[in-house]
Amino acid sequence: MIQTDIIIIGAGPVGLFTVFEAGLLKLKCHLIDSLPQPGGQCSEIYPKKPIYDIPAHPYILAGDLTDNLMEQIKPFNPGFTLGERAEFIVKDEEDQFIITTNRGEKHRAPIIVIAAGLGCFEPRKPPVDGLAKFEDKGVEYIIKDPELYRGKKVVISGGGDSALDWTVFLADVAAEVTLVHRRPSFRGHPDSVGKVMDLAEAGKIKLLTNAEIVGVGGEDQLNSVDVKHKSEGVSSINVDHWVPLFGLSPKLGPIGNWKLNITKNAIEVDTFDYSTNVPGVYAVGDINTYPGKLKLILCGFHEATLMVQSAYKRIYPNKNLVLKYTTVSGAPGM
Amino acid sequence: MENTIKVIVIDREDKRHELDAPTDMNMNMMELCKSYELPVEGTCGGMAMCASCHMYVLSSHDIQDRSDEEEDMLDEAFFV
Repeated sequence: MIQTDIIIIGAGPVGLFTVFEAGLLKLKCHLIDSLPQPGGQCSEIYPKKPIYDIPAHPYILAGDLTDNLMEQIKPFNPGFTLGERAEFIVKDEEDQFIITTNRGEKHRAPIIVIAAGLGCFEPRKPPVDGLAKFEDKGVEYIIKDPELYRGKKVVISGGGDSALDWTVFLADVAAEVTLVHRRPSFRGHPDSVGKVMDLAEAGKIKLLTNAEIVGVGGEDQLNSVDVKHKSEGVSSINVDHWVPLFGLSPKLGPIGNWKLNITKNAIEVDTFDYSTNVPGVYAVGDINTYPGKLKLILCGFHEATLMVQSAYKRIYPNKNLVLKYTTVSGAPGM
Repeated sequence: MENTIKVIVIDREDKRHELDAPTDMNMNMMELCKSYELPVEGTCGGMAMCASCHMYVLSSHDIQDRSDEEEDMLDEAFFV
C-alpha cells in the first residue's frame, strides 16, 4: 500500500501545482490519474494550443505548461499512479483515507485532494444497440496489446490520428484491417492519411468512407458488424474485433458516489479552504464549484495554495504555521 | 434593447427558448446558450475539440460556411 501525506486525484495542472505548494510545507504527495501521462487536458486534449492567461506567461503552449510544472515539482519527488482510475474511498480506524484504484492499487493518506478537472476521460462510445454486450469480447476502445489482433479480422472506426495510426500499425499484425469513417476525408496528420491511402491502394487494408457501423452481431464473442454506406444501404462484414476510436470525453465517474455535495457535476466547497463536506477531503480546480467560480487554471492554482495551509493544520494541529516566502527560504532544487 | 437580436432555441425535449443575443460581445451560439444556462455541454469551452455541442439552423438566414474545424467535429458527433 502506498502511504503519503496527500493523495491528489488528477494530475492536471492544478493537481501538479498542489505538489509544489504542499512541498513547501514539507508535505509529501502521490497523484492518481486515469490518463497514462500527467498534464490532464493540457497534455491529452490540447498540448499544442497556446494559453494566454497564465500569469507571467504572455503565451505558453499547454504542453509546455505541463512540462514546466513537472520541472517545478520534481524536487519534491511526488509519486504517480497513472493509467488507473480512483474508484473507492474508505476511512480506516486511524482516520486515514484509503483510495483503491480500478486495478486494485491501494493508497493511504490523511488528506485527499480532488483535482479531477472535468472528470475522468473515458472513450466516447458510439450509440449502437447491443454494443455493451461485446465490450472486451471483441469490442475494444483502447488498444493495450496489439498482439491481441495478430491474425485476426479487425475493423477500426474513426477519422482522427488514433484511427489512422492504428490502421497503419495493425496492417502488419492483423489478417485483415478495415477502416470505416463517416466522411469522405480524414482529419488526421497528412502524413498518416498518406500512409493509409497507400496501404489501401496496395490492397493491404480496406477503406470504407462515407460509411458508419450501425450494428454488431455474434453469440458470446463479436463476429460481425453492420456497415451503413451513405448511398448503398447496410451490409454485414465478418470481424473478430471492432475498435471504435472516437476520442475521449470526461465523466464524473466514481467520485459521484463518494457522498460529496455535487451540483452540475462539480463538487461544492467552502472558499475558506476549498474543503468539501467530508472532513479531510478537498477539491480544487475545475472540479469544484462555489459562488463566483471561474474554471480557469490560474484560479485552481490559487485554490491549491490556500487549501494546503488547511491540510497542514489538519495533519499537524499542534504546530503553528508561518508563511515563508520563497524569496526568503528558496525552493528545493533551485 | 439595441445591439441584441432574438434567437429561438428548441432543445432536445422540444422546448422552445427565446433568447436575447447581444451582437457586440463576440459570443457564439454555444456561449449564448450557456449564458442562459441551457443544458449544452460544450466541454472544451469552444476550442472545437470535443464534439459536444452542435445545432441545426432551421431559419433561412445567411450564415457563414462551416469551418474546417467544425466539419472535423461534426465527423465525431454521433447521430448527425
